Parts: sequence; structure tokens; C-alpha cells
Amino acid sequence: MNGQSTQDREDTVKHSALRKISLALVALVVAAAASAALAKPASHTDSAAVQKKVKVGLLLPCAINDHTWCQAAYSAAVRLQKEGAIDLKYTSNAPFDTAAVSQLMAQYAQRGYQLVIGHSAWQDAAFSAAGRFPKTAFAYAGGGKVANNVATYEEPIYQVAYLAGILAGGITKTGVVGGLAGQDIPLCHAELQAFIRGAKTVRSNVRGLSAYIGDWSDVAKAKEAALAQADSKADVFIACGDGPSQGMIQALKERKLSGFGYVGNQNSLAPKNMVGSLVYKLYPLFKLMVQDTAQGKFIPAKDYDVGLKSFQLVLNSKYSQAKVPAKVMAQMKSAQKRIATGELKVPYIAK
Amino acid sequence: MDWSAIFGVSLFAAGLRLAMPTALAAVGECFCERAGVLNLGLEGMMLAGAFASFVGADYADSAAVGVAAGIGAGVALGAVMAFLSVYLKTEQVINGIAVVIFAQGLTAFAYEKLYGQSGASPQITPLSNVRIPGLASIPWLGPVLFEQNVLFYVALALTLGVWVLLYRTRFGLSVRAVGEAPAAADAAAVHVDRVRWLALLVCGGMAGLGGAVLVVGQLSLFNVGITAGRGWVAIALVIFGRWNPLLVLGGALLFGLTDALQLRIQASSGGINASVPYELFQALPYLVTLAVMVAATVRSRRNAQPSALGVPFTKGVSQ
Amino acid sequence: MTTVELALPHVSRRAGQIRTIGATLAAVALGLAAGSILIVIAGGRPWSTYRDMAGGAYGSLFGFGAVLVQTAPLLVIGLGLALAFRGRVYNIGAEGQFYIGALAGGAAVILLPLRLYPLLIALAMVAGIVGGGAWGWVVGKLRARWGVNEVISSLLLNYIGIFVFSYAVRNPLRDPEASSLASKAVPDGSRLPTFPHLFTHVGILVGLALVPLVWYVMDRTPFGFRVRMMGLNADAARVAGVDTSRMIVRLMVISGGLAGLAGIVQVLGVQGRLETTLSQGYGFTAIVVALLGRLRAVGVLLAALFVSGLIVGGQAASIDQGLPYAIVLGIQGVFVVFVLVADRFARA
Repeated sequence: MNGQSTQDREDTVKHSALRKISLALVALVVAAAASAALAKPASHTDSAAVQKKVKVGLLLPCAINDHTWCQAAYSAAVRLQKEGAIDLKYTSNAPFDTAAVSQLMAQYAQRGYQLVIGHSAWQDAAFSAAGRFPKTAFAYAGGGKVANNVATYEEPIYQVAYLAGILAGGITKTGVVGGLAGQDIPLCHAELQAFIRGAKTVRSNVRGLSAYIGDWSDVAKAKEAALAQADSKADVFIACGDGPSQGMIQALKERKLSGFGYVGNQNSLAPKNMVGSLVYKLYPLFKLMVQDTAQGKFIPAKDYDVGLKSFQLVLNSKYSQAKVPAKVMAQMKSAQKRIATGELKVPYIAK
Repeated sequence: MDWSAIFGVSLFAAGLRLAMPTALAAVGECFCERAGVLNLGLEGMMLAGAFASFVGADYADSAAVGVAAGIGAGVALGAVMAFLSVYLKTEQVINGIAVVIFAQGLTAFAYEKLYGQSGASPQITPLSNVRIPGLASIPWLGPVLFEQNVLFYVALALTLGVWVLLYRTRFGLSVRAVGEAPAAADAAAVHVDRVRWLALLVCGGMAGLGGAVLVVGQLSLFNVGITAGRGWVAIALVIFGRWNPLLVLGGALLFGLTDALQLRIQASSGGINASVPYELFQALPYLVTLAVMVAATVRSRRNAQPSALGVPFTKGVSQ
Repeated sequence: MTTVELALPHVSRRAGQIRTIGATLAAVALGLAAGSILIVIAGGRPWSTYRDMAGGAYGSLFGFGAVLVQTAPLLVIGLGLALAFRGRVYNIGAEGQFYIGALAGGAAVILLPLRLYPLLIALAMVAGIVGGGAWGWVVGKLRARWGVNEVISSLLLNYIGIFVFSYAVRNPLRDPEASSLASKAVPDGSRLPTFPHLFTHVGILVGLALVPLVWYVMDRTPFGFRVRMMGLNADAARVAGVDTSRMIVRLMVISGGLAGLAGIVQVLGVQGRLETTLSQGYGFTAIVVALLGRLRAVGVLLAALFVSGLIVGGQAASIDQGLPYAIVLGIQGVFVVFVLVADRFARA
């Protein structure tokens, strides 16, 4: 263009490109070296000393005060901490993607945490991190594959959903019950099915509706789904998931219907409408895992399941007792005993 | 399948409820796109408005304060967008994505900071429903139109207001001129950048109001995923509605109705045992929007898109 | 381009590049400064937090390995986006293309009864590219043929893509034993091996190999030249004989294909099966990466390393400093805005 030959221009371009790349690489190397020089070394546990308190790292995909999934885990862990059994560190609002979760778990393990709990269905992430730290105990929620140092803990909500269903069968005036879930995962499917079956033991012609919102935190849509079911005559509800349960509760308040809370004690969110909540008692499960870790019995890993002890149907004292016939309450209590002894087996329908 | 349960009055009431937040954001976006600015930050503005309205309603114990706070947050982000797109004149698409990431990050951080440690999750008092006596008793139309939340009527009024503003006022004429032929508008002594600034502030405010409607008007709670992509849908609806506020509102209603419909079909067909996969239902509103958007664009080749959309205006440089 | 740049191309180009690097570094510095305000609000100490982050990310093999794992998808998607954005084709649908690519590749690996694993992996990658490319092709075709805005159509196809993925995982490919919505596992032999001390899967090599390739295409081929022309002025490009319609489709297919490749690499390298936890907004983060990298191949690499460092370092700092993890999101958010401001002043 300016009396410069093509060759000159090409050389110039090549030189400045090379220069740019080399400058950038130098900068990166300097930065890395500087940070390495200045970085705090990661702490390692003195494995020779006997650990009285188990160091536990807890990963939560949501907030600790969400009244449901994460709060259940957090309160169980805090209780163990208060008892002096563990040293707790937690991450709330953790990312969902496997790569990030696996790294986060590995970060805890690298800092000497003995038990790393990922409170979600993070099977792949747990296995990925566990492969790198074979002496650390890892656990994830919901049931699934176990091997070596990766355990899982069950969420048999379907059993207590069956009990809730019995009550629902007695409460419903229309004979239609509703259920909402974020996605059609086995846990939720089994929960909703058990609810319907429980209701059928009281009233054989009960019809069960279910809706899948597609999103675990879209409360508005969940509310609309519940209202849609209410329009189809459903008057007692159950939910699976944080957004679905919150949306359901909003709908219950608006239409003055009845429902059950999910995983956390949500009775206070709608005192006149909540029959009770299906509260996830993680304390016994966490305690078992902590004990096994402390005694070196964690490996080979197990599928931790305490059955009905991990769930409690917490009834709402403010809910009008008149709506629940005494006969039905008695039936529920009797079923509860029979499930606990193993005499009654609630069907687990995952699909 | 119980068709009367599906297509009853409540379908339309539900459709309107679902549509309202998106409609507000979409009409706001329509306004600023008419001025030539492509604002992709809408999802961020809605989220910020939702969060601010929640905090405002909680701290001041007043729904009205919450709504004002929501609008304020939206306007603030609109100003950020204007700073980037109108003042600095950097690429508008990127600016919009940046605003979304910015808003999502800050909201997650602020929510964690303000509410993350407390034991109880906060509850706010929502705006109550208004029942217009007499009119609400009209069969069918009554419950749908005349027994809604206060913000519903505000939203309707605002949409009409935007239409009037755009087509019946001098300012609206400036807005449209700035979006179609900014050089000509500039020659006619219209301050192009100032008009675009104002348009973005209006857009941000409406998006913030949309978020506030969601929280204070409908749900009285907040979580970081509460807007669930409504802002993005709103942007699609603007194209769908060919940049006409009334058609955009119509598009939003169509989307809301389709969503309400798919939920009702799920509800009445039993859900668990449906032979049609429920993902198809979930995808339905998006498919419908995409299809109609494509059809709208294809049909009107000589298009309704403002000619200067997305192009920053610099005095003296031919566009 | 200013008049100076037109008159003295070689001087101004070098000055321009220095300015660009300078502006990017200034943006990083400003972003860190703004981030410190957030750290202070969260009750932390900025200097020690940043030191922890840097050390956590780059100060050890452990950290750097983690950074590389995070970098892999961001780099591959980012390279594709950089190419498309350079031509002003704004592909916002990388997330959907990622999932469709993962689905196509994953289905190939799960369903094909092939035991020659290197071949199976190669086929899976091809399937991933084809899947993602096809998903991108739809967007490109809509824009080229009928002028449908690609930003919106790619956005809507994000959602639809994820629904398709969820359905496929829930039905034909589902693992009946899994407690979440997940597909059957891919055969062990098809999992990508990892480097011995880094615990990083070899998929990062795919990204690294693409860097010089994309650089070459962008800077040395007539195709790249046409892309850059389109980016500067589409009308002038058309007048100069560039078939902008075909270019648009090509760019969407390429960027979609790369996103799909990133998807299958994530399946084979990290996850081991198909599940929605494959990604969390990688398609959007990659836009930030492409922008930070100034739409240049090497820049995208550095930006991907940097953003990944922010994530991994943020994890480390949140554990060590007791800060909420949301701080990482907040810092990322302010960063992006500052880079844009700096971008403007780079062109002053």
C-alpha cells in the first residue's frame, strides 16, 4: 500500500504476531511464577495423629435456608458439629456441572478433609474425585453406584409419601390428588406413585395427577401447574423439588387446598394448608458415615439406607384436625409401624 | 382427557398470569429496539428487578416500595447498558450478554450476603388482588380480566401507554426516526444518543417491573433462578410482534397461554402415564414462538425491523 | 479503521496490538479492583483472597490440572465463537449445540457395538461435530435464507436442544439403575485417558491443537479473510464478491460443530455418560472467553485459562477464606463489564 513490498508486510505481520504471542506468554509465566511463589501451601492433615473430630466437607447445590433440600443437610451437619463429632466446612450454592463439582470435592480432599459429602446426585463427580484420593471418603445423595471409597445415601421419600397418601385419601373430597416434580427422576416418580397408592388404600377410586415442570426452581410455573391440577379437581397435593414445592404452597394458599411439604419442614409457610411435611432426617445417615470414617470402616463403601428412620412425616398442628378422619389417622399410624417392622413393603415404582 | 377442564376460564386467567412479567419486558424491549438499540441484557434486568423488589418489600415491609425498587434496579441496569452501547458505542450484542452475566453474578452474591446466613427464609407481603365489583361478575370474561392483581392493570396500562407514546407523540416519532434513519433524525435536530438513552431507561424500568410483578405480585419469594429465561423469550417476542407493542403483547399472551395449556394437558392426562413425552410439552411454548417468529420474518421480507437496529450512531460518519 | 491506520498500516497495526494487550491487561486490573470491593463486602481480605485464588489455580500441579479441565470446553467452544463473532454472526446457541453434540457423540459410543476404542472415540467426535454443526446449521440457514435474527433463533434452540437431550436421556438411552436422569455409561475403553500427575483428560489436547488451526484459518486463509471482511462491513464484503449467505451458514456450522465437539469431549473425558450436569452455562461463559480473547485464537486460549483460573481459584479461596462461592460469580460479572470498557479505549 505504501511502497512496502508484500514480503515486508508479511514479515511485519509475522513479527508483531510473534511478539504479541511471546509477550502474552511471558506475562502468563510471570504471573504463574509470582503466584506460585506467593501462594499459601495447601494444608495437609497430620495423618499420624488420631483424629477425634472427623473433618467433613459438605457441598450444597442451594442455600442453607431454603426450607427444603439444602437446609435438611445443613441442619444435620450442624447438629453433628455441635455434638463435637465433626469439624464442618461447607460450600453453599455450589455449581452443578460435573467438572466443577469434581474439582471442588478434590479441593476439600486435598486439604485433608476426611469425608466429603456432595448433597445432590453427583455420582460422576464423586467417582472422578475419589479416583484421585483413594483414602478420602466420598458420598453423594440419592442412591446409585458404590465402589471403594464412594458411598451414597438413600432418600426413601416414597415410603413416607405412602403414609402421606393415606392421609390424603381421607382428606380429599373430590377423589383427585395432585403431584408436581421438577423432572421425572426415579426418586420423584416413586414418591408420586407411592402417594397415589397410599390414597387408594383409603379410597379405591382416587385419581392421581402429575406434572413435570422441567425446572427445579421455576416457582411461578410450578404454581400454575398446581393451579391447573386444582382446576382438574385435585384438592390434596404433594411435590418433589424445591421450586415445585414452593409453587405448590403458593397455589395451596390461593385456592385453600391441602398439601404436604418436601424434604424440609415447610408447615410454617402455609399454616392453614399444610397437612404435614415429609421431613428428610439426614442426621442418622450422616452420623453413620461419620462414624464409619472415624473408625476406618468407610471403605469398602456402602449404600447407606436407614429406611423410614431417615424420613418423618411431621404433622402440622395448625392444620384443622376435623379434616382428617380419626380412622384414617389411625390407619396411617398403623401402616407406619408396619413399614418400620418390614411387614408392609411400599412398592418402589421408578418409571 | 377432560377438555372442559383444560379449556376453561382458568386457562386464560393462568395464561395472563404467566404472560405478564414477560409481556412487560417484551414491550419495554420493543421500545428500545425501535430506537435502534438491541438490548440483550433483558434477562439480567428482570432478575435484578425481581431481587430488588424482594429486598425492598422485605426491608420496608411494603409491596409498593418493593415495586419501586424493582423498577429502580431495572433502570440502573438500563443505564449501564446505555453507557456501554450508546456512550461507548461498543458492540451491543456483547454488551447485553455482559449485562446478564453481571446481573446474575451480583444478584447471586447479594442474595447470599443478605439472606444466606439467616435461619428463616424471608417472607414478604404480596400485592393483593383487586376485584372490580360488577365487572368481575360477568361470566367468563369477569374472572379473567377483572379479578387480577393490581400490577396486571398497571401492565396493561403501560403497554397501551407505550403504544400511544410511540405512535401518537412527538417523542415517539423521534424514537422511531432514530431507529430507522438516525442520520436524518440528527439533521432534523433530534439528539440521537439522548433519545436512545431514554429508550433504554424505559426498557430497563419495564423489565425491572416485570421482575417485580413476578416476585411481589405473584410469588412473594425469591430464588436466583426465578426468572427462568423469561427475558430471552421476551426478546424473541419483539421480533415475533414485528416491533409493534400491541402485537408484542399479543405474542407474550400467546406464549403464556401455550405454557398454561401444556400444563393443563399434563394435569388432565395423568402426567405419569402420558404417552407423549413431557419434554415435548415443556418445549411447546419455545417451538411455537420460534415457528411464528420465523413465519413472521419470512412473510414480511421488506421487514419491520428498525433499519438502524444494533448500529451505534456517530455524528458525521455515514451509517 | 482510522485514517492513520489506513495510511501507515504496519506501524499502526503494531501500535494497535500493543494497545489491545495493554487495554486487556488494564481491564483485568480494573476487574480485579472491582472484585476486591465485592470481597470486602463479603467480609474477606482482597489481597489474601486473590493470592489464594492465584495459588489455588496456578500454584500447583493439582490446581493447574483442574484449570486445564475447566479450560477444555471453554477453549473449544470459544474458538468457534471467536470465528463466528469475527464475521458478526452472533451464535448465542452454543449451549444447545454443546448438548446436541454430546448427545450425538454419546449415542454413537453407547450404541455402536465397536470394540476398537480409538476408532470408536474418533467416530464419536465426528458424530459430536456433526450433531452440533447440524444444530447450528438450522440457525444459519434461517438467517441466510430468510433473515431471521440468529441471536434469537439460536437462543430458542438452546432450550429446545436441552429438551431433546433430556428426552433422549430419559428414554432410549436411559440407565435403569441410576437415581438421576442419566444415560447408560459409555464403555470404559472409550473414556479419555488422563495425564499421570495432572488428572487432566487428554481432551485438552484437542483444544490446544485447534488453537493454531483456528489462527491459521482466521489469519492466513482466504476464508478467514472473507470472515474478517464480513465482520468489518458486510455490505462492502458483499460488493467485493463475498457470498455472505453461505458464509453465515458456514460460520454457524463451524461454531456449532466446535461446540458439539466440546460436548462429546466432556462426555468422554469428564462425565462418562449423558446427564444434564455436563455443563453449566459453558456456552455463555465461552462468549465471555471469546470476547476477553479479542476474538483471536491465542487470546481465546489465554482467556480460557484465565477464566478457568478464576473458577478453580475461586473454589480454593471460598474454602480457605470462608467466602461464599457466589463471589466467583460476582467477580466474573464485574469483569465482563470492565473488559468492554477497556475494549472501547483500545480503539480510541
